[in-house]
Amino acid sequence: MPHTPPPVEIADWIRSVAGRQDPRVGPTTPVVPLVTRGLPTRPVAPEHSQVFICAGVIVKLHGERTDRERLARRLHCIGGTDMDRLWIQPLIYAPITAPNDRLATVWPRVTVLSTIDRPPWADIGSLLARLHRMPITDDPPRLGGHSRLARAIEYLRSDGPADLGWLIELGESLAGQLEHPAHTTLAHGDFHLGQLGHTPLRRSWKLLDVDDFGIGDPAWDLARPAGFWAAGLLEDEAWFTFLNAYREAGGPAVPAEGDPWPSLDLAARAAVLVAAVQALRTPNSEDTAAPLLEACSRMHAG
Amino acid sequence: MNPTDPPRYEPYTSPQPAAGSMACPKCGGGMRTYERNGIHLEQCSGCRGVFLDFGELEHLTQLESRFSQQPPVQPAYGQPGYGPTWGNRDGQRYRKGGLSGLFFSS
Repeated sequence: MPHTPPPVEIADWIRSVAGRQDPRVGPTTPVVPLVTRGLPTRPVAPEHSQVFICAGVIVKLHGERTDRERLARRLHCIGGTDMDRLWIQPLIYAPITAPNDRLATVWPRVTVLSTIDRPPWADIGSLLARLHRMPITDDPPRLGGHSRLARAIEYLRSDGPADLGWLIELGESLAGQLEHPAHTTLAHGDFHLGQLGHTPLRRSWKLLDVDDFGIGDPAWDLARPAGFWAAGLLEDEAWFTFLNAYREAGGPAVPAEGDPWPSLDLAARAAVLVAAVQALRTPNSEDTAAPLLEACSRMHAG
Repeated sequence: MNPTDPPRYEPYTSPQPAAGSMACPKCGGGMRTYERNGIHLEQCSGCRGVFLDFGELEHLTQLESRFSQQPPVQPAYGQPGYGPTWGNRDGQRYRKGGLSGLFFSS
């Protein structure tokens, strides 16, 4: 089962952590694994994080390969000056250790964007632009986009379909080209529509999930919408609303005018490849996998 | 009025409607007709209340949604084949459910 309830020991621990933040938590308060409504389920592997809701508190158990020191620096950085306007703030600004030795972070429960909502593309564009323009005053680690591409290639090598050798070649070539970005800023590192939340009091959308946050090419944050648009999975209106809002807010990932594509192409290719591999691994995602793989094959041919 | 008398409380009265014009249903004041973006509205010159004719609220709602969905400025660069060479922008056939892929971490 993809989203099973946590073992009793973990559930009790989550209740004790949540209880220190939210007085409503008692010994029988449910600890509910988070399943985003309407999404195809995906199996939880040891490297995946798991998110649990307990009353008004979210406890995230990070994947087993998570580096404590890097996660701590990321949490510290989003607590910096003015970052609370861009990021949902954690309830504890450091990772703690769960009984199963996983690292855990503790967050307030927020409203997230649902798959049935019309995405607020203009807000998203300006939110990302503001993040990319933040001064780098702390010491955040490198952006996590590279590791996601590396994991996708690793999966193709070990468990991928035999006829996808060309996709491994393509991924490796992209990884090499993405190694040395022309310019770097603070960036989310794993931006997608599930990474937006707002608190009940302040209804503006903010970013969730610090796991890949850091310094790198800001084009990574535009890469999924760009790549999905290019692959024919996102409408023109959504893409241009997003891009125009990003530019109006002075976002540095693309030039202020003219063709943005030269700045986005590599990251968008990587995002499409990673999403194609993810779709291959997810049951019932053939409809998404097909156009993404077609786009990859055109990249490989071109 | 004797200047030594205390000031007298004057109940508020709305300006009276001119002959032939509408009276405000709330305060009885005279209403003036305005036209804004093709919508006729009556505003009371007393309480500033606004009266909409039949269908005009729907008209306003449509205007509002058209405003919020204004087509984004289309880029001139490279049209119509704008975008990467590996893209698939010509067919304009969007896959249903394609957006759900934008909700995942990969």
